[in-house]
Amino acid sequence: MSESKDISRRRFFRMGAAAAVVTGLVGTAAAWTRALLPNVRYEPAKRRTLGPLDRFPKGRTFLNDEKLFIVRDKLGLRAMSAVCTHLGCTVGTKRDGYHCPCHGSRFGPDGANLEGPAPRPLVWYALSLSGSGALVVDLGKEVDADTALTPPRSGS
Amino acid sequence: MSGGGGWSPRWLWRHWFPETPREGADAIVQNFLLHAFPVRVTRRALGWLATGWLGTITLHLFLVLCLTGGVLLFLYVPSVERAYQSVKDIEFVVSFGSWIRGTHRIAAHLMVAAVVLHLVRVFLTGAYKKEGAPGAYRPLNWWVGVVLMVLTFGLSFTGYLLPWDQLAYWAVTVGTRIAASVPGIGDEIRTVMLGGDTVGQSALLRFYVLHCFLLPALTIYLIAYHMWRIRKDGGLAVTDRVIDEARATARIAPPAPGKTYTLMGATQGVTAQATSPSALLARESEPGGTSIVRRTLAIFVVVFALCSLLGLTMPAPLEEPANPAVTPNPAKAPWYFLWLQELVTILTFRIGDTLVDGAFLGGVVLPGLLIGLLAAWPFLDRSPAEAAGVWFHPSRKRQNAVFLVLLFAAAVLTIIGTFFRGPYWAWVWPWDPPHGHPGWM
Repeated sequence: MSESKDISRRRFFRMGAAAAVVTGLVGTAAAWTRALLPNVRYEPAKRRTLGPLDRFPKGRTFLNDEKLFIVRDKLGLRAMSAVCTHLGCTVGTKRDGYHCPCHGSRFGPDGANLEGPAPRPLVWYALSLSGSGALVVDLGKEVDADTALTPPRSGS
Repeated sequence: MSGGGGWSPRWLWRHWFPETPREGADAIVQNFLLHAFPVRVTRRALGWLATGWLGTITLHLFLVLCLTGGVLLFLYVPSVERAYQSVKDIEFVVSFGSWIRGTHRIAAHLMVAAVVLHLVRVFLTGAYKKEGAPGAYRPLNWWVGVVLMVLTFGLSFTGYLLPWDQLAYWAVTVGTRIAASVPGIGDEIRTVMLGGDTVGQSALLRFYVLHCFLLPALTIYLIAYHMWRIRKDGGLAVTDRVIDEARATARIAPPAPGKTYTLMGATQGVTAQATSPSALLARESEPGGTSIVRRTLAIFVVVFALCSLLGLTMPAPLEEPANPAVTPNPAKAPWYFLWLQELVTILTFRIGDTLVDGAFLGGVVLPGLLIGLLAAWPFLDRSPAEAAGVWFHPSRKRQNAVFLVLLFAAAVLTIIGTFFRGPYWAWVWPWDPPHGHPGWM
């Protein structure tokens, strides 16, 4: 009996040592992998000030940095993304809407996906006014195509 | 070192050039580089018809890439602000820079072609088959080869991103969005690839480290393993057939497999050498020390010269600097990814209310299935042992047909993407007025 106890103790230590080694290796590997996941992203904010309202005349204005169309019409002001919902290329403006140069998706004037591989319509983002009356877009907040910002009368 | 006075090249290399077969064999046993080669090799395995030497050519192209890449490494700056400028400097300021970059780029294109042709050769000759000499297991090397092919594609993809021109920027954008199409964890995969949410500095640095360190290191290791496995599997599959024929036509019984060269072999009763051509068919083989080494060196010279000349005459293109606001129209991937670009285009469709996402189906699922199919093929293959090492063996008619149809489909999609796609990826005919986008290659 006592012999079998000796063996089980040796077995206990052996397995404990093996577990320690495995835990150490897995833990180290996990730490190294985690180091590759950024904690701080030095990227532009989702909420951005686009400028005073009079910079956006009636019709469509394209903003390079945000890849946004600012549409101003009877409804008011709306912001439509120019990023194709398929694989992220910037769509080009055509007479009948928007076409994508990468895989040929076609969108209507309101961003509806009509043809090609795009799975969803172009995205519309929420607009608001800052305290000083500048136009602000929230690239983290999607809205319906007909949700518009009505500009204040007193302004332009 | 050779005795006697006076300078001799032998001071540099003990076996500078073997003068007798014995010296050649000695060189192979004692020299670090040469030990990869067999002491004797069958003439059939040496011939151009058996393999086209495509694996060797692929390896040599990789060597050319390491050499030219080593020079470029000193000249390129992996920063979003300076990457494009440093590549432009390589093209227009650095002495011979354009030549070196052109050689690197053409060798990369040729390596993709060579590695695919090598796979086609191995498939059509059934050289991956399980059945072989005792101790041989060729499927293992087939899998290593499939991984090496995927690594080659990975090296190509990460490589053409580095100039940070329009081609680079939109390739990362599309490539990482394809990864993001994986249900559930897609966005996390994209974040890890980019080191954030946007295509920027962390993304460039990640692809740079992958291209210049991680992927080449893995490739070098696996190439070494790949070549070592050939020896462990008893040489090329065609050698098994040569041995079969020698056995069948032998007037006297072949020597008993008792001649062993290694302790391991002695304990198992057999070694690869015991049944190798050296024991069985001296007449069908010749010393590897001279024949393989000479041919390998000759092929290296030809490959190197060809890449150098093409690099001089076909300078590598550089598009406009990366511009997130404007996508080139049409934005075309390099030729070896065009079939995937076609697939992600045509595979989005609706069944009732369910949307099938072409990005996921064509960009992840289908390539994954094809790789999986290649990996599983040694187990699906039911052809007899004697089909290994023979071109188009009659028993393999059906599987060769399936393989060639898949290959043909990819080729057709590549041709469509190259010649039949114009602005906004619309169908055009090659004889239509040119749309003039150089980014196809």
